Amino acid sequence: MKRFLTVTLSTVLLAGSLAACSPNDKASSDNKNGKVSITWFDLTAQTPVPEPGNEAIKKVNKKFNIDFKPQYIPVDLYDDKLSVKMASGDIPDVIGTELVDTNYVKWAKQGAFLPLNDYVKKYENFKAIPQSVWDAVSVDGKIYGIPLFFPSAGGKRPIIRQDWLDKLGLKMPTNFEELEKVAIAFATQDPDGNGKNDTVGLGLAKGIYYDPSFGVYWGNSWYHKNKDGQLIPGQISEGSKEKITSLNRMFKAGALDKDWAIKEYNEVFKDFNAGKVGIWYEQPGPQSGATPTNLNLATLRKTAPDAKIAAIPAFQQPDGKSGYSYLAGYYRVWMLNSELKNDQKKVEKILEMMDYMTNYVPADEQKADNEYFDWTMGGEGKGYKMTDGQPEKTDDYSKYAPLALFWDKMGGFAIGEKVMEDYAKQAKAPEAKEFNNLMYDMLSKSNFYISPVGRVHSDVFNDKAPVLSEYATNEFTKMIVGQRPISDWNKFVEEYMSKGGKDVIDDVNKLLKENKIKGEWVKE
Amino acid sequence: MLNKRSLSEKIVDNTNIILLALIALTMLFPFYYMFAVSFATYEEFVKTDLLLWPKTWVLDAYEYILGSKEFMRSLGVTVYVTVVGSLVSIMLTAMMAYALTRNIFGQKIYVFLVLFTFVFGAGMIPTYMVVQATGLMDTLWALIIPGAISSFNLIVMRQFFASLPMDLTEAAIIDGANDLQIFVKIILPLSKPALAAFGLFYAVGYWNSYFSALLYLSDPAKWTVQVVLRQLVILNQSNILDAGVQAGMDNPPPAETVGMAAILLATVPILIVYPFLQKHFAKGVMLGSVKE
Repeated sequence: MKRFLTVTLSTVLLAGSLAACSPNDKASSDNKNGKVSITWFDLTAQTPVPEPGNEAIKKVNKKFNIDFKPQYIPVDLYDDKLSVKMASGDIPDVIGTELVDTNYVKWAKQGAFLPLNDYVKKYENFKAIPQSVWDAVSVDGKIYGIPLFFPSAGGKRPIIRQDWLDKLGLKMPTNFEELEKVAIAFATQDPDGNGKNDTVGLGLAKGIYYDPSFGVYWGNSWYHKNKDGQLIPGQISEGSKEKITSLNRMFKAGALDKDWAIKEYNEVFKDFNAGKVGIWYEQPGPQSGATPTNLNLATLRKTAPDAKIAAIPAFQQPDGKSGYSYLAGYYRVWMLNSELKNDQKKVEKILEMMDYMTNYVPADEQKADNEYFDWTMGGEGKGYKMTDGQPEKTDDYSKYAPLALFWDKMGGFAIGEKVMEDYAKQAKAPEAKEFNNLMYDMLSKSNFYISPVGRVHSDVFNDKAPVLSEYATNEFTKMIVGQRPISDWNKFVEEYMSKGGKDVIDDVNKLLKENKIKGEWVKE
Repeated sequence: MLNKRSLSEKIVDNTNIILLALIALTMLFPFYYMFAVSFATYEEFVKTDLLLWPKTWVLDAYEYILGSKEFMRSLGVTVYVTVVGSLVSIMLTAMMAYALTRNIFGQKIYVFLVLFTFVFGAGMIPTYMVVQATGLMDTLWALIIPGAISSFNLIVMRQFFASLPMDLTEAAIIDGANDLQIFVKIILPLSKPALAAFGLFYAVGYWNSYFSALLYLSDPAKWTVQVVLRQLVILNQSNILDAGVQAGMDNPPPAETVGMAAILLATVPILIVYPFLQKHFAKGVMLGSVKE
């Protein structure tokens, strides 16, 4: 309700308030001692949240000869505050956002952000940004934001208890038929050997939180085409039908948690760490495999000392291909206030700073004698310390490190997906090293599909997609637990189409055609 | 006959007692559960389906929180806002409520305006703009002044003042007291239950201030305990992508046990206030319910 209110109010008020002036910290080019002052509003995951006037800000001021005035809000609280800020006309020079969402497109269309097409070519780090990512942050061909790198091949990928497979004499599943067998065996043949029937074959969470698709063909990406040659959302495809049918059989055979439909995904992590689940998901990352709330191999091994994890490669598809879907390729975007259009000097200063801060230092060079690295991390002994040849942040990191003001890097566009190798090197816990190695090993052999839908901005899609996905998820949940027969599939597709699915498909395909964008396969 | 009636009465009584005890238990249980989990090790919490009594009691979660400068600092901020805010609120509310019982010019219009805000709120964005325009942004007063007077509390308190016998004030006037003296020396001392009850209402409101703190304060040093608490419990999870946890690479993401301990630490101080105000409270909330 609150969000609805925010959105409605902001729509009404934004247009008017953009022109109106407000006395506070909105875009300003007041020169204080000849220094450009830059206001910056962004989300953060740093704890503690960086405070005004700390050492890190002083360093940034000195380095770029500016008066840097940032403001940070924790990620999960950010959206609410951003909406109010935008609607009240209190718009800083730089605004951060997590992803290109409905608001981003709306604000861009209303002229709140500065088009950056003419600027971005001048900066080294921006040159490496792939076209698919530029497409994602552009509206009507205008680039409105600087995206930050995030590995596309990352994201939650399926993992399996290899020790259970070995114990029951089973092989890694390569299709849904084998998956069913494995999942049912995991649930019924007591793989943990405790004599109790307390294991779950395939982990599944409320709202099918992580999609058990094992490949693009069965997933929710726009991969399949209908008989008119239009791309369609994964939910209504043949692959999806096969997946749901299979999940329904697994549910009947007891291979899924009988309470899965009301179990939150973090509960399933808890179950997996307690050694009760056979197949679940995790993503690469410097801490993955050793995080307290997600996958934690150390906790798992307290219950099951011999536990061994393997990543499941994508299943072979009926069309001869195989692979997982690529993520958007970025996480977080920085936008500039459109009022800066007459202040080219300031725009260049801001972009120079962004370009400088997004340099990626490979894991092997992350040493104190690397001047750039040392500076961004706040100096050895202050922002970080070296342990076992790897930098480790101190508790005061967010006080001293300029990088903390721009949030951590997940790599850089120049190094690309290879950054995942660095995650294993950077990992401190041996479990995290182990997990990242095995995950990267699988991903580096996999193919990936880039969905074209994220590269166009369809209002119809933005408007209706959330409702449609929710509807599909509800129907899938009913079908898996047997409340609705699978034989109803065609009826489900019809309902999906009549609830707006058809309009979405028409509009998206029209935009794809206009912009000449297609789905693409890439190999890592 | 008498015996039989008392038997049925006993049955009704006992059923009521059992039923109410059960309801009370369902309210208390979450607190107990938080208490138990906050002292447990994370491993035990993961392994046990419903943890009621930890096998090993550890203070790790409390050490983590009490060792965090941010939590203690925000607790200080919240205590400050609660104490100052409640005093300001109760003072302003009492003053205005009393004034509205007197025969002053335009009294009806004032009462109407109060009732109007009772029914129609201004909404988030206009309020934000007012806070911004008045220069309250980024000060703790932004949490206090915009909501200093609750129109509901004001109306109830006005009813209470109106129910005090007029003779008292008349006698005071004859003795030569002016309006301020009457208010401070006669009305306020007679209104202790009302002041205690509404003071508590306000205090709880300020203690829980969360969204306004988030909206109006950009300096993390001024955030209230509820904002920091949310960070500790929900740990910066991105609601779009699971990258949030991963991207915050080296932050020690606290486990559920820490969350439970944090909730307890943030709830207990305000709970402690209740027993002391209990006797006023029961009287106070009845105010204005019956008008003689």
